[in-house]
Amino acid sequence: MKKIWIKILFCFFTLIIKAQELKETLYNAGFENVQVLVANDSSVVFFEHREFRIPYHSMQLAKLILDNSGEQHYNKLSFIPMYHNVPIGKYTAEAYNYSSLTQSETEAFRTYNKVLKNYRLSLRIQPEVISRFGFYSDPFQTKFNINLDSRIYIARGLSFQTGITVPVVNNLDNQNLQLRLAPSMIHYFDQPWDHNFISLSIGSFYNNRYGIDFEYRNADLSKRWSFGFATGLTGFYWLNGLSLYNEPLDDIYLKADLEYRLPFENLSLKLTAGQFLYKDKGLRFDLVKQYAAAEIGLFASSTNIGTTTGFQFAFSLFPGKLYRNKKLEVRTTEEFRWEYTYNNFEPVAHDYRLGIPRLPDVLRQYNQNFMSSLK
Amino acid sequence: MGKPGYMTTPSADWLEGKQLGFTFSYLPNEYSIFKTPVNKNTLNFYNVRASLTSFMEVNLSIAHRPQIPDKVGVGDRQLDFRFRLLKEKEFWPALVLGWTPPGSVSPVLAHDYLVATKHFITPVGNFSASLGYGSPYVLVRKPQGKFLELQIKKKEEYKGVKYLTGFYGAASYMPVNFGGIMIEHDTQTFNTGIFVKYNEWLYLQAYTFEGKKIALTTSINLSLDFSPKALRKYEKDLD
Repeated sequence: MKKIWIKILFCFFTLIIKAQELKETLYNAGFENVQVLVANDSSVVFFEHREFRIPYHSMQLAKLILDNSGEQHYNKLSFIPMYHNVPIGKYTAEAYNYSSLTQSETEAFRTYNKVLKNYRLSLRIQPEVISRFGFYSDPFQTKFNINLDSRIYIARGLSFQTGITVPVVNNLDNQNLQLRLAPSMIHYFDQPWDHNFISLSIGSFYNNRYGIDFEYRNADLSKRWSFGFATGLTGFYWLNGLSLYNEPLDDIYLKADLEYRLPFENLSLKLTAGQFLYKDKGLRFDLVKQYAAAEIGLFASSTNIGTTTGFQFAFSLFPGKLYRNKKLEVRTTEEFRWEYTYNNFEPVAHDYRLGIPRLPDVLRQYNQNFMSSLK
Repeated sequence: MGKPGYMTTPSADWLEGKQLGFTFSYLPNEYSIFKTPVNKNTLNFYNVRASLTSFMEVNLSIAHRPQIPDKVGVGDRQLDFRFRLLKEKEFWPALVLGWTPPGSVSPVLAHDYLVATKHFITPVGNFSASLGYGSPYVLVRKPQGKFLELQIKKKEEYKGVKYLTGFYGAASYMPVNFGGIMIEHDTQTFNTGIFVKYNEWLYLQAYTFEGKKIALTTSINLSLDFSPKALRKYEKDLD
């Protein structure tokens, strides 16, 4: 009897040591907030990986590391990727089938989630390009800045983002080339109920807007339909070095959208309606194609102000990680997005960027149909 | 000129697995797409091609005229699409429809065409032949008109545009797998050229218009289905 107990205890400790080692290996490969829960019939790995744009790549890397970490075989392995310190869902390692977290998994996450201890200081290089073509006197008007920013988690789902902007070129407007504060904000992200996501941002954003922004989205990540709304109360601001000029918070936008993922070729259709920036009411239609390395979209908008069409693309900047140790990581941005609109003299269906991808663009990457198509 | 094809004419070729392409072309003034009395229409043609589905591609082109930047700025820009109607089979050519959405006030670059291409693999090299027809009509947005207030005009009567109006034909011969020669009739002139390819992603081309003027094209074609560097490195280290 004693012998059996010793054996059981021994096995238990080996499992813990194994899990500990694995956590270490994953952490060194850029995974953060890693938890490995091994049971006899199933294993679950929680993690966040900020370097990659799409979670498929982080799961792929985790799978390779696990497969090569020794003889141990993980029964029924699943991944629980996190985004901004919030678990998005559970994906089986083989088929990328999505399911929501069970009660015990949610509890395990709350117990092990250590926002200060389990994350590195992640410095991100995020370029910002604003161009306007077509003026005869100066055909390529461009503003190019490099933002060096960081996101620090302070509580579950709650983070603080700030940094500095290094202006490089500006022949678009008269903002000077002194260093200034990069868009900085307090951000809260959560999935209060399964398939329901909220994102709240308060602070300064891109496109010279400051204020408060809220997004809600209902997206069952195993399904094709999703919908949501976004709203914000913002004002114009302008920084020249340390001197601030700002206008009052007086512009409300509110728009709702419905998105459908077509059953082939990773194409999604999205229809957005509502009041855009500058009290401009109307519609925008998007066609989005997802690739492993990029997202390409075409859009058409028609509003009070006018009509336009254009395209956008998003990809993560090469090379990704530049430097990494236990406490610090320097990397290029996980998502660089650029939009071109034909109508460059009227602000048709305008929007501002937050410095992080918006909810529809984030959750589209977590759809199980997209992931399984990449296998 | 941005699309898979010969010198100035598009073919029905489809670059499988290369969903993104960048092209630069230089066209001499005498054979420019633009015809103006000032006659300073040397063209630097920039193009980005992206495929949205396995049967649909979108192209964005900028036609910059470096001799008159003060008059035209960046230059004419246009968005157009290609649709693959038929894949090439053993005895059947590939068929592609090119379409420029109407709505421009000055659709000089607009072109709508249907083209068929067939490849022949022989012991002495690979041949290809294409036959296409470009619409001689174009939809022009009325001056000061709304978005879809359009009128049909004959292309030639509209700013003297003759590019891709009527029947065109082209053929190429690749004696080696990295390059070859080609000839085309682009509805107006006979052009001949040579090209080299490097590793399926880099493409360089030089050709003459009727043996009189030289023009150049270079393009890069890339896949968008690749993994990030960290993942590729880990996979490589395992091998």
